[in-house]
Amino acid sequence: MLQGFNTSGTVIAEHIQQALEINLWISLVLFASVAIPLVYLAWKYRENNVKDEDIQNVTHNTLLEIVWTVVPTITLFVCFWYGYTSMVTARTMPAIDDSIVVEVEGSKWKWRYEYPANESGFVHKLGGAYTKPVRDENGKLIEKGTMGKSALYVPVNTNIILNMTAPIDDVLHAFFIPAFRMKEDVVPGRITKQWFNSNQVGEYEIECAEYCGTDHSYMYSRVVVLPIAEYNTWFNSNEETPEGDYGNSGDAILQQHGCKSCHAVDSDKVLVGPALKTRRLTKEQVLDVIENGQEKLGYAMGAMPAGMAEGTDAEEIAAYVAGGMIGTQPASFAACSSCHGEDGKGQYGTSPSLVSYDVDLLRNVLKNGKEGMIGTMPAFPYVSDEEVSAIAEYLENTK
Amino acid sequence: MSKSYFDETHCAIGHPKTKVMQWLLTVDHKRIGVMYAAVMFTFFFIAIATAMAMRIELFAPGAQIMDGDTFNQAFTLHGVIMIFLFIIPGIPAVFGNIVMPLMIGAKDVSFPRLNWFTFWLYILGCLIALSSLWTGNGFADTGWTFYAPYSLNTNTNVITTLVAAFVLGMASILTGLNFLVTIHRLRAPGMGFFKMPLFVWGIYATAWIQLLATPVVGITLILAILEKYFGIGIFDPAKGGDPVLFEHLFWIYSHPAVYLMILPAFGIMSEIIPVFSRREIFGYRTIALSSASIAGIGYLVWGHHLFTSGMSDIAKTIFSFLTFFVAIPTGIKFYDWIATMYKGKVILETPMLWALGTIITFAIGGLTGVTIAMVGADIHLQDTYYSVAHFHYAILGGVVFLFFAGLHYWYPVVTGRMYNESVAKTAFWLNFVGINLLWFPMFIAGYYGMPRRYFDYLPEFEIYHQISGIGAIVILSGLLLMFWNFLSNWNTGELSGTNPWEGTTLEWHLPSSPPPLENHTKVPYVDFNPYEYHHGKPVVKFDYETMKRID
Amino acid sequence: MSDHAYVPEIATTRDGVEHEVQGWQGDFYGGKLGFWLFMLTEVLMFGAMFMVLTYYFTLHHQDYIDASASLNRVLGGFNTVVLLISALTMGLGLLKFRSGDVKGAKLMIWATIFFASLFLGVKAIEWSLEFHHGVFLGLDALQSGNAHSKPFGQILFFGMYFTMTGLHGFHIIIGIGLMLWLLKRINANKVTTDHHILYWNIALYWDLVHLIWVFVFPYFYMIGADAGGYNLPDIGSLFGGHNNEH
Repeated sequence: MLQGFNTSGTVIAEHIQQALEINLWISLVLFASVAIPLVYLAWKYRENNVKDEDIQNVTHNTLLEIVWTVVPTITLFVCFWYGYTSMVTARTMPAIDDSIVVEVEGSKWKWRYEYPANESGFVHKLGGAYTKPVRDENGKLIEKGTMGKSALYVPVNTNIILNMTAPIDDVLHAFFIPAFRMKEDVVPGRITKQWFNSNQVGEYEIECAEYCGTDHSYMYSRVVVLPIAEYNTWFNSNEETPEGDYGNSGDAILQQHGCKSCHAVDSDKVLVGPALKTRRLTKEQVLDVIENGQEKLGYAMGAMPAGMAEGTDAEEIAAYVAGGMIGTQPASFAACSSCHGEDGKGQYGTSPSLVSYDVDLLRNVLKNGKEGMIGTMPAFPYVSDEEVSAIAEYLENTK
Repeated sequence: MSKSYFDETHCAIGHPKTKVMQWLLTVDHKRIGVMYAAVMFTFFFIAIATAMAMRIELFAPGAQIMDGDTFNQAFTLHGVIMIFLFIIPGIPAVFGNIVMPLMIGAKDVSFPRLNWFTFWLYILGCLIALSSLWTGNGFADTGWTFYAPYSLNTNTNVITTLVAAFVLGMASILTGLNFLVTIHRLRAPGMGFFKMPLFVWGIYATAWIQLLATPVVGITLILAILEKYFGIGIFDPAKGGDPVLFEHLFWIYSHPAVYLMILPAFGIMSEIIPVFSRREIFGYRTIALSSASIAGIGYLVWGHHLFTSGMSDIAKTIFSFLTFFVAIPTGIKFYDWIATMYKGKVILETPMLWALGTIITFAIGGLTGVTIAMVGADIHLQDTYYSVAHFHYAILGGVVFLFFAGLHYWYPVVTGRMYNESVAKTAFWLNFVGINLLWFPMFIAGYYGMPRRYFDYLPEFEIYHQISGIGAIVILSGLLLMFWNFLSNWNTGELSGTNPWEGTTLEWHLPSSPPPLENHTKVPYVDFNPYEYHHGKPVVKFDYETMKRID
Repeated sequence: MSDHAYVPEIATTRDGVEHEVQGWQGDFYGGKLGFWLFMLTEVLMFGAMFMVLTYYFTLHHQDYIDASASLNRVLGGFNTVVLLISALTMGLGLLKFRSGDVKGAKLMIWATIFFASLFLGVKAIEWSLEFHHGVFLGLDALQSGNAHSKPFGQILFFGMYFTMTGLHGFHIIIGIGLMLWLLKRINANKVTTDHHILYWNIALYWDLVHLIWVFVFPYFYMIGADAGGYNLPDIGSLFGGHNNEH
């Protein structure tokens, strides 16, 4: 059972739970009204218990037919009524003046929350992708997945209204908090709303319930219900999180913007996009990629043609470059130097520096050329300058 | 049996001499039905295999045998095959073709060549769907619902799959049209609508749904295709389009489609229950008219798939209210069937076992449907395993189980032989236990918040997935046993005679089994009700040469 | 197939009363019923598109009127008249055929084919004019997020315009094909004055095709009729004359 599933303390959860329980009892009664006569009649009139001349063609019984039409109908409309009233509870938004309105954005595959400005005019923007759990080769859990900085922090006993949407080039998601029994689709180009008010301090899982692609099953987040004082302290500060578990580091920003769901940071593994752990790109180039996306790795000359070097030549070049270009330059490097310069450090804006290419990457480039090797990286126009600087600086220091 | 002259002339094109071509070009409704069954069950097992792969994947948290993208393609493949290739054409295409004309005493359907064409259109649709497995960027990963804008953004082979679904939809429309005209025009003299067997009523209601609902999804798929090719913008929020509109248009068809699946299945139930209770059915007219009313109300309830889509609350209330009206005629049918056993003689042979087992499983499927028809409850349960379990209880535990009941019931008509009774009973119990083990835990997992279409899940849900996994193995063994039983007895089983079950409807009054081309020797005059028994014996008897009543 | 010597079977009651059995062969009313049902599916298909159109009309009222104003009402109106005349010739043909005038009927079918082709020709001119004005599926004006992008409502309007007139044009092409096939069958004496279900159904089909246009025309061309002046056909731009963007 998920955390706080039966103790979330929201009105909606109580009301919907009540509807579900009434429905359960009605269902059991109706099921019994089918299953018990079925078994009984099949047993009573079993083949070797009935003589042919005792068989009777009973085809009508008005009273019985009225009973089995009317009684289930009434019970069904009891169900309808509880479904309707619990929906009204869930869908009647509290007055905006008595509530905190949080803007929620769902995108592949992260939740982001934007709060109203606090006393000092600072706007909290939280949320981000879930870090997948790490497992060994037998599927055994080594490290639990973490929500990173992605939690939605709310005060206890307060109405929270969620104004939810998705970027117009994104897809449908659904914001689902099982413990609160609440869910609504997040639709690109539309704003949908939900609300809740929890009287229990605690943490509750948020899931995406509308299929949205590759990492649909990792689009988690959580709600953290805080005591009011603790919430207010945090809200009126410029701190990212109330607990302070997450420093204002590049790692956290990468996490927040969901970089890490496509790019490896700690290793050279190519996930959806390339690993970020090289120092190939300058700060300006990272900036360019983040702002404009990436199709041809940002170089004016465009794609590097395939087959510039082959066989042992290629191996030689690769070893040389990956080794930091120390020692004697192999003759085959001449093929490279026309574009990448005599020293292989590249010509700014035209061709990249080869200094930090590793062997695998080089071999790949030499063989196949390079044009959006892995695909287009989407643009992230909302990233602020400070954040870009932090990312770039962080990347510089990663290696 | 049948003369080769007839084989040659009963073809859509020319007069082929070889057996294979005579089958491929045949316009004989029984042969077309058998070919449908062969193709459909092949696809059925492909989809079962994908489902098994998914169950293995989900046996423990984390990746077991595939990655997330493959999993997404797997559930799409499973859904597309099961829905569009198997269960929508399903009972109408197989038993509607084989049995319906026999039941109304017709020589064939109204448009035999159109029927042949429709079959090949269906095959074309299947091939297009299959081709997308190996071409382009792989099979669609959208889920069988193709929700925009995901289906517009993904670079997998969605267009091919949409085209396939469109072609299959065309085939479905033409089948429905053919059956409607057949039932209106070709009933034997004397057979008024209320003298038709209830299976024919089921097919009739179904045909209307096929005809009136499929065009809407057809045009929706075309719009989605044009959207992907030309970017007309209709469902694309980046151009002002509304993705929720796609959901509406999709479900305007796809909700009636589930009644399109279940109504002929109810028809099979209504055939089996009186025959194996050896008495007249309880409430013939109620059952017949409730089929029709389910078909009618079924058009007005599509919105209950959209309770969490951002639709207005007033619309939710209306759709929820109307949805409960579908439950009423369905409930009445259940009580009618059960009452049919009262003071009868219940013979628990395999078809009856399947029918009674289905009453249990479909009751669970139907009642859990009531839960998610309640708007408030559905806010919590929408898109969780609860919906998945509800759907599979209703469709596997309702439609497909009754399909199997029909396969056992009409096996003698199609093959002239009998399957092995004790093997068939074993297979039934494996299936019955399997379905409950497989899907009941999902109700609980869904209630606790396990969303559907998850490739990986939180460790809290592991136990439910593992029970399901075991259930899947049980049901698979049951299915394999059942089909082995069918196939191994196809040519070698015991001869069944023309009426092994003491049935009363016209398909049991044929001169031979399997029936000759053009069916009954002569068309009978129908002045009797479909299920007339007296003291456990069929009332109506025919002289099979002249088709005159001799009772 | 062409053997009309089909003799219906007789079913006899226990009292010896004889009833004629309706077979699938030679079932004129069955054929008609089937085709009516098929037409019903066409109505539903276009009906769904009209529903989509109406839905967006309520959302983007002014955009729709603006977009409609830029359509060419002269060519559209001309086409409406052409299609109405073709429906007349089709109907007259069937009347002539039923009264035994095969030659006159064939002439009428040819006339219908002529008007249908004329319709298509004018439609093609219209589309190419729109193309030259930069309004066509796939061109910048109907894509989002660039300098030439039209407002949302207009993108949707033109999206539906090209879809629906395109599908309608497709139905016209099918219709021409059916009529040519009908002529072939008449010449081969497979469709005769006694056995003319094919002719009936093709006439029915053509009626539906023109009926759909009768709804398409006002919905696309006329809703913006008050908003802008009449655009006379800009033939010059067809031949690359003053080919300005706007």
